Amino acid sequence: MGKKKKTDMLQGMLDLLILRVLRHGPLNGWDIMQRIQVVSGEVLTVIPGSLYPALHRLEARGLVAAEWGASENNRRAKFYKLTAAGKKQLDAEWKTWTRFSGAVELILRDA
Amino acid sequence: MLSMLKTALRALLRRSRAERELDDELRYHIERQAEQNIRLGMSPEEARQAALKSFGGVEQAKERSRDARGMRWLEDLWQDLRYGARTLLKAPNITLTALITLSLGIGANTAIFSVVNAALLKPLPYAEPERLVMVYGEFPALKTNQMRLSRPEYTDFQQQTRSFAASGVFDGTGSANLAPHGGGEPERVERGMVTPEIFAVLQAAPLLGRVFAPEEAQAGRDDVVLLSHGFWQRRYAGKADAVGQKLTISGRSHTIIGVMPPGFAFPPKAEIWQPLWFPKEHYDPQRRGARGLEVLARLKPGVSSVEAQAELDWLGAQLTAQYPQNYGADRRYRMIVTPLLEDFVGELKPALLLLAGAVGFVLLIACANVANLLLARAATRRQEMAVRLALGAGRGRLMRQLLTESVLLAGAGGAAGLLLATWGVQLLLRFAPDNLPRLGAVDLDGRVLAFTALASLLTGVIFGLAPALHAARADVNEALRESGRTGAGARRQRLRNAFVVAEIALALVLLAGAGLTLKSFWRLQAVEPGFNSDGVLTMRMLLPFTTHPQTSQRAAFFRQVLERLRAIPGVAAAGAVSRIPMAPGNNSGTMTGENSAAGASMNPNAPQAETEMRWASPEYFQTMGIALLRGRDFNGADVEGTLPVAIVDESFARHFYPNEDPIGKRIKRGGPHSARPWKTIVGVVRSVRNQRLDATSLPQAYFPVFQEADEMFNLSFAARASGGDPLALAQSVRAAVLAVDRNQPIFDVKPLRQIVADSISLKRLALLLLSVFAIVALLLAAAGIYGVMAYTVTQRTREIGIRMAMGAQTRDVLRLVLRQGLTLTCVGVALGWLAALGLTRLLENLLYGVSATDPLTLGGVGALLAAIALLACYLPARRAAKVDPTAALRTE
Repeated sequence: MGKKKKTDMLQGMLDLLILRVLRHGPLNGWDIMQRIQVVSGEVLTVIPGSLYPALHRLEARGLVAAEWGASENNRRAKFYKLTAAGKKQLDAEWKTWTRFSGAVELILRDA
Repeated sequence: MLSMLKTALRALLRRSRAERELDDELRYHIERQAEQNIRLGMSPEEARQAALKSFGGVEQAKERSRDARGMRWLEDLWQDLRYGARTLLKAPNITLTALITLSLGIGANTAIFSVVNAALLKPLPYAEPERLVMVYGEFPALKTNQMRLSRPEYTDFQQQTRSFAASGVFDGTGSANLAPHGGGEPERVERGMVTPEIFAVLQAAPLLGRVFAPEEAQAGRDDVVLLSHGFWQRRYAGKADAVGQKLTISGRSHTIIGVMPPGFAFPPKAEIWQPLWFPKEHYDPQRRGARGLEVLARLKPGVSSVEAQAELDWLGAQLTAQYPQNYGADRRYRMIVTPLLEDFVGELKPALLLLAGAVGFVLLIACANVANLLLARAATRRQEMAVRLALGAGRGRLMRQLLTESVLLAGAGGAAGLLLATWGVQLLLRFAPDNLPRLGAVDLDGRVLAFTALASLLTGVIFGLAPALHAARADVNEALRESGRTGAGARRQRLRNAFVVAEIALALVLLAGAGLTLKSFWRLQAVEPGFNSDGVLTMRMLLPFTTHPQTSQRAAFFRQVLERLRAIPGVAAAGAVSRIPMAPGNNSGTMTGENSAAGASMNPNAPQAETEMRWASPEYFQTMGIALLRGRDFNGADVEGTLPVAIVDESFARHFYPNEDPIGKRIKRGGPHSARPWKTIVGVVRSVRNQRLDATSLPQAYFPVFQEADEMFNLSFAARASGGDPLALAQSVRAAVLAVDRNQPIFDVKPLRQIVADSISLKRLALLLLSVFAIVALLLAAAGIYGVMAYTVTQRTREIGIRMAMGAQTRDVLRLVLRQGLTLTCVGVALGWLAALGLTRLLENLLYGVSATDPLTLGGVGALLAAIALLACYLPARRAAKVDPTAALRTE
């Protein structure tokens, strides 16, 4: 039971990170992975085997939309774009995360 | 939600394309990763391998991506169905056997359900049919069956109750002669007599014209007639100008005032309707015993039948107090309401439910057989299952796939069964007697199809569950080993044994039910009805008093008919009676015997009793073969104006004059203070079963029909054929009546034997079906145990070879195998007996003269089942005994 919850939490975090990364424009899977790793200073590494299922789940929920397009070197790749619903979800989850992490920090600092 | 559906649908419809896209997407990622690795200094092959490794499982990722698409189960289902179909086709023998077994089981269930549907489930074709009720009377203390109402009782009902929106009276048992269309014999049609209110009760509107007006229910105004849709099509070619034309019925001209819509059939089978009304004398409030009215009523909206019954209970108490000479303190009168549907088919319900249960058992047995077949095949599929488990298929997934396969098999069996059911039902209807109601409506409508689909689904799950659970629990290591004697094998064997034991138990219960029903029917058939039905032809005649108003006219008519009947060469005797035994209707009333002082009716032997009354002509008893025990029959001297006489039956004599000779004693109708004339007893006859073979009747009294003018309207005639074949008389009898009066219809011309047989026709049909099911169950169980034993022998070939090599004889091997079979059989039979003791209780109402736990029957069927089972074991046993030890040791 504990193991399941941990996976759910990580999954939720991954979804949030993906949505955030997509805020500034459409990206393909490889780019998303790179962006997360680079911006977090190599602290967070995403396993591709988890990334793609997460992307497909987000697509099924209508939070991102997918489109095939040309990457650099003119190769075919699947690009993901944030939808309006996705943006709303991102804002909501961001708020939740801020509150959650703020509370954790309070306890760690002063409890 | 919508987007999920969209992606799922897109995924479903373009699966291969979606697969390709998924491939492309992941390949792109891996290429980029490989390029990055090369930039970091790896060689191309290293780079690629590292890229794959870092992915974290490409196949799993694909799988989970596919899962994320949602609606995965639909794709899985499609895949399972195709795989299942392939697997089934790969083992044609097993599949075919299973298909045949299942189609028999499901088909039989569908057939029975379609009958149940037509009889019990389909609503009647009238507005708000659940508000329609029949009203009957009864004497609860006397345990009479429901009785019809008399005219005064109906008047009381109409005037003193408030729960009913409308009520009407009908009489559907009769036919009429129509003037021929041009020469030839008159055409006979079924006629329904109804009071005009009936149409309001049914809320039925005519297709053309109008229905009867209230003033048409009286003398002189009743020459109107309504046609049924079928009759109108047949005789008037469906032309609208039929309304207004004249139709000659029984010699009298009637005007056609309307046509009823198709499907309107009240009373059932009526082709024309005429207004029903009663002469003034019938309304005499004292004349409460002449009970011939069938009353249909509609409950007021908002009134439940419970409330209506409560009001009727109150009315019954009122009437009992108001008319003490008709209803005594020990003969409380009560009216009851019965929902119309139940009235129509109430008799059928217990028999139908019993048959539905029995056929359900047959299906369970079939399931057990098919489950065993699948378990046998599971052994050969061990490796397949193990490989799939090793490749990562979840156990749940495996189970789902196996169950889908089972349901597919069951579905195919169900489709074949549906086909069998259509034939089966046609066959059934041909054997069914046509006095059974509503069976014309049997067809395969939506409800029946839904039932078949549901039954197939459930069947598939039931027989597929055990094999699926078993396969899903397989241990991968164990299964991949080559040897056959594994733990799973033993588990399979135990399951199969359990199924066979269950089959035998179920078959025993069915056989017990059939055996008990058979014995009961046998007893019923042997009951002495009190009359001799061989060679007697009966018929009925209705003399409308509009054509024959004078008593002397009616007496003359009937006398002439009797004379002519007796003059026919083949007729040994002929007589008339107001009502043939076992015909519907009932005329009973109080009678008082003149012996001890009237006084205290606290005395249970008080000199009055509820008596069934009949009016008979001379020679009636002789014709019917009713033995005259003392005194004399009626003769030509017993006419109007002479000494009133009566003949009573043994039961009457025993009640009133237990230790004396009743001849010469006087009795009268009504209570001790009634003003009716005394009648002298001149003869005693044997008691007759008047209602049904399996119920005793009230005391009976007969009066000479020619002495009472009131009774000479509706008479039944009986003629005994000297040659023994009643039907040979039919023509001459008809001719004799027509010779007296050209326009007089006679109807219900039937041999008495048929009337008696019809009264138990339903029981006969139920017995037939139950026996068929029991035999099918027996055969299936025998096949089941044969299969298990045959398989066991094959599995144990090596062991048998060893035993024989070590000196075992043929008979030792035989004994070994038979002992195993015997054990299974005995356990099955014992369990079956236990179940039967509990379940046959449900049969009690349908049995006659046999207890539900009759040990002789139960023991007998147990022995039969054991014998058949042993026989089924014998063949594999013989095969085992023929095993060649050297060959056996060499195999495997």
